[in-house]
Amino acid sequence: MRKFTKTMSAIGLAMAWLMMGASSVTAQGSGALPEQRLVTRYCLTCHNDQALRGGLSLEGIQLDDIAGHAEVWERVVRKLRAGAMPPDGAPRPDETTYNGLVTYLESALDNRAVATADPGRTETFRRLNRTEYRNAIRDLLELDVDVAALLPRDDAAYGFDNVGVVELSPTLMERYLTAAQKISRLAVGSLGVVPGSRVVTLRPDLTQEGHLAELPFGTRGGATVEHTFPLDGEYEIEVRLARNRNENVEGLREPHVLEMTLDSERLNLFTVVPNRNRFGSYYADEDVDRHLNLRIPIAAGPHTVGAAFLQKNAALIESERQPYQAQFNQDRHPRQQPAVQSVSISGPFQPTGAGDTPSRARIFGCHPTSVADESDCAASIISTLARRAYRRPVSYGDIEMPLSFFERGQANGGFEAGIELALRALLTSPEFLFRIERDPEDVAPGEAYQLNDVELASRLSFFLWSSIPDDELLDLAETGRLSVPAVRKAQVLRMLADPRASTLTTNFASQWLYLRNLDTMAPNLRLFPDFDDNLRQAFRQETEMLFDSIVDEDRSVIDLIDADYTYLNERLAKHYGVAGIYGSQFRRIDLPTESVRRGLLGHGSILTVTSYATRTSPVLRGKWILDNILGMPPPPPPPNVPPLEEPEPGVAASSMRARMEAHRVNPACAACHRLMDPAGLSMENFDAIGRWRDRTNNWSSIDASGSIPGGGTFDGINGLRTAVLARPHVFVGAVTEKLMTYALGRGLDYNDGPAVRRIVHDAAGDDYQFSSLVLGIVESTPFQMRRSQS
Amino acid sequence: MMITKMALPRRTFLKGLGATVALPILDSMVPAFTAQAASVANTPRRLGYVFIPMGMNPTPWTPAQVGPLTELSPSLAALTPHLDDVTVVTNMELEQAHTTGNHASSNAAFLSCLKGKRTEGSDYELGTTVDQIAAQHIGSDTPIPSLELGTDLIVQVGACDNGYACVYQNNLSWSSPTTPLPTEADPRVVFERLFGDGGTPEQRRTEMEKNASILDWVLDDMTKLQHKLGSSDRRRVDQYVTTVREVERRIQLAEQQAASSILPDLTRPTSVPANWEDHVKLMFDLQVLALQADLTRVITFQMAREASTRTYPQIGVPEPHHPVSHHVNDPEKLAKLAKINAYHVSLFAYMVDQLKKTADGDGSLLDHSTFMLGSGMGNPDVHDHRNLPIIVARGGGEKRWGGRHVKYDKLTPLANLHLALLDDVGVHLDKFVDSTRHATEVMEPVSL
Repeated sequence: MRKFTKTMSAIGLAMAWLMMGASSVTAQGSGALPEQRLVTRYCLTCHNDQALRGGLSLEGIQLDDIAGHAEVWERVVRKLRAGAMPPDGAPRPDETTYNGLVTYLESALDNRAVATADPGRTETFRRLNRTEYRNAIRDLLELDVDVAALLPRDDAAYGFDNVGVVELSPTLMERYLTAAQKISRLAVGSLGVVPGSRVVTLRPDLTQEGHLAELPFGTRGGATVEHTFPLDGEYEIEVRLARNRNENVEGLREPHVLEMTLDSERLNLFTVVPNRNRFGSYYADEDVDRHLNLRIPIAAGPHTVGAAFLQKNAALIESERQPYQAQFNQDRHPRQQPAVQSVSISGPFQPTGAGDTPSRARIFGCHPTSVADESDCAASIISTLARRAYRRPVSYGDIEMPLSFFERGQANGGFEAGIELALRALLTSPEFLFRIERDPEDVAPGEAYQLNDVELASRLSFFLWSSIPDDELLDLAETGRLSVPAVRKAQVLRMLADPRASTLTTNFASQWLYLRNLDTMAPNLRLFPDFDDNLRQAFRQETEMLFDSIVDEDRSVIDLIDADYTYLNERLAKHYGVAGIYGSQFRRIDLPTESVRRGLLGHGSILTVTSYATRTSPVLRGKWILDNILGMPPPPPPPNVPPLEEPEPGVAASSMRARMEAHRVNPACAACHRLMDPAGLSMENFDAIGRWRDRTNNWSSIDASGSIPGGGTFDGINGLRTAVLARPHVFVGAVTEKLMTYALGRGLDYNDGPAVRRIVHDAAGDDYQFSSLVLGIVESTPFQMRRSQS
Repeated sequence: MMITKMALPRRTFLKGLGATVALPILDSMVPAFTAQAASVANTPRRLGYVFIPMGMNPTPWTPAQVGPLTELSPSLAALTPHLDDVTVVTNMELEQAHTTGNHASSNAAFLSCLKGKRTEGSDYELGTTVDQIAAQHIGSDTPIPSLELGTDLIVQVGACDNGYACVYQNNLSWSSPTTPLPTEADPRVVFERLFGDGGTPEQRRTEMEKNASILDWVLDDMTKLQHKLGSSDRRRVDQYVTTVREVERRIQLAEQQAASSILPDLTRPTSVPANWEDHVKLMFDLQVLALQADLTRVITFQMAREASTRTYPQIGVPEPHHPVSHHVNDPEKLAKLAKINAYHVSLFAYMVDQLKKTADGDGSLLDHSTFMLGSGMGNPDVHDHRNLPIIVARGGGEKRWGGRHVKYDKLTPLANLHLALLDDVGVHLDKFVDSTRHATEVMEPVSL
């Protein structure tokens, strides 16, 4: 690897020499580069030391020293590649000259990158974040834990919560200790587990009038709960029904039958009968769901508990047309039939043993037959666990202390208690809790070096799985085969095909696209009476399924903008006004070319997370487009300028536009809003929960004309989509930057510009297939290498 | 609907039976602690900070009278039963909070009085906050030096302020310029942190001993790591080592306490109440419990996050807080902002009420506590950090302590008040960031 670095610098020197030679010749020949004249003519009018438009001056920055001002020129190239500069209305050279300048700048910057190879420096210590911790426990111990109850949230930086997780506060350390204790007990199946209870409460805005996905056909409403039962023993399952403000069971007007299931097998049926004879309408139902509980023996391990009502003849149910589909609220649109509020699971009571669980099968690779066997078996179990947990080969030195913890536990409670204590120690080790990338001893300060195979294995697994490497990956790394490009490529493709790669959707895409914020979205009930949790979940599902399909089928990422298909169930199809889709299951449907629902920009999820509770926000939508689709985040507002004010709902759309344009007269505001608002305004045909509308609430028509920087003007959502599609490299560049930030766990800077360009350029040949972006990132200098501490 | 294994814990934790089930149980625990607390000869003083985001509508907030008050202003009306125990302070400012990321700095400067370093990376830097300075002094005798609480369970993506890492907006407390302390919003987690899994004192002691020896080993491991690192990485490990030592110290304290005290049979809150108001009250209940049991003496509580878009339909404000706060002097929006202010104050009044009802030593918990409610912004419309809404609640024992409006003629650094509050719990600093003097006048009892 040292050799590699040396070769790189040798090439670098040669390049630098060539460049110096070339530029000095030109400078001597004509006095100034033709490119320099272009910059002076078309850019300097605004970007000089006085005007300082956009905080940028190109005055005195010579084009024969691009390498010396790489940061500035990367900024310039970004705007030029998108065609966003010079702005509309300002003079601009012909296209050939324009592109010539961009190519000139890019090549100079790319050459500089070859010459100096700065791969950036990821943090030496990076804590596993919540998601990674949970996945690591799953892959290490075959155990699913409720990580939100164990660890505090992570703060995001650069849009992702795997960036900048370096701090370790005493509170957090305490939490890790507690988590290790709980997890090791649960995984080993310690009889020391104390009875506990878990209450799963359904969202109060979940409509339960019809069949819900994942529940048996013929049922209505309810929930399934996947739960890890710690021991063989008795457990109590209890169901409570949703109540209205009078403390009566909402929608209970006649008897209903509730079914409880365990792993889809019926446990029992319960009849719920209304009791309205006591005193009036308050508290009459106090006891009607008291009997909805069972105490039964359940074997240790993961099981699915279900509770749902048996469906009655659908014809009896009042069916209402939209917008009164949501039914969860006593006053506005009450439930027609009773609903499940919570399912609780308590236990174990009278535990009989640890049972046969996937965790135990995973941990206990050997079973000592005599006391004499115990030490050897423990050493084998602990070294296997330590290797996986530390993501590297382990030596005797690594397991010496865990073994002594084993002995201590063994002395007090036998073999399994020993393993439990050793596991608890491993889970508290900094080598498990932190991803550590240490500078090799023989690398000079500030020098780029190649990561070793074992470090690369972790980078791959945390990128593609948000988890630890599996044995196959680790084996290849330990035997030095992961540095063979063909082997590495095969591994990347294998990993992308693995179910664990679904974290690219649930972790990467959900942060990139702000899907995570859906849970906190609570559109105003009065204005949007048909919004409920069913719709919220359907929104999420549609976008997740689209992203999944890009990864699974290795499609072009351009399909994220213009897929000729989407995924709908009845709920979402009705919301979109698509006919002929019935039932709670999602299915893929084809979309015609002119459909407004093609791609992310027409998804209810995106349109809702970029709106306020009462109205749309062209500003939020525009900013979302600039940040996440075009990769051109607007500059921050100057200090002490209030955000642009928007009119209240009910104000005519034309006047909303007028007011926004009036605000853009203020130069301090205009710098950003000139870029953001027009993009958002082109989406005005979608209301704050993503429904199509031709008119606003007060019947005025909608003007959805808009523009994006460098993309000209257009009309409506399809115009916006066409404008984005016209320059695929801009969108793909934005995706690549987001994906790379996530892959590296650090913010990108100008030094990464050449790598991003190269990935986008190479992927173009594969029609921007998802795997070509991922492989491009994996093979890039920032991913393969690291700069040592200077 | 499918609740996948634990894959969607945030969803399942968002709503809960928590409030209705937990509150009565928590109430029932009080007698068990009272006996213990009363036996403490020298009752300790406690310090708390409650943060509200996005300033206030000053007109209905500011009392018309200056000096002794006979009545409170409309936004503060909920505190009327405790008039004698509260002092309203106006015209304080956070000069350093004026930045290009005003929501981040409103939160960050509230207890630090500092401007955070503008970065989105992990090289963030602020300063040690006043609560942590207090905790370093008066927290060392309790198993938990300080509690950092909030109500926002889900961290928003893409919602942090221009160029400022989310740590500035999410965390009120910093134990060092580079160590933000995460806030916890799940009542069950807070409960377990305070009272653990329960069990007999013997069982709990065994568990603590195990943790102590695991930490010994972790410390060993870290020291080994350190030898192979460059200087800045070594500094990072130094911080980790300090953290582990601190946890060891806490465990020792807790071990001592576990040996002497008997925990009542506790039932944990099961999840997060669906209703936000219930959630806030439950978090206040837990604070009262923690103070009463003398598990901690310093608390910070983010009632809502800065730039929060929470809606309050229950009080007639269905619009999100953040856009409402940009009121452009629209009377309707100003009225709504005032409603939100009054609502937040009413929840603070609930806390004051609980403190007053809870016996502690020779008086009530309020008699031995100082709680400040405030925001890092004054007029949120223009992201202004002047004329902050500030209320100090403090029991006076025999004396009438509060019932006053301290109005400064000139804008006065909030740091002055921070110094006075620290004095009040026996921590004396000459200066804090931009302080000009100690705001002793706020802490003086009323002379009638």
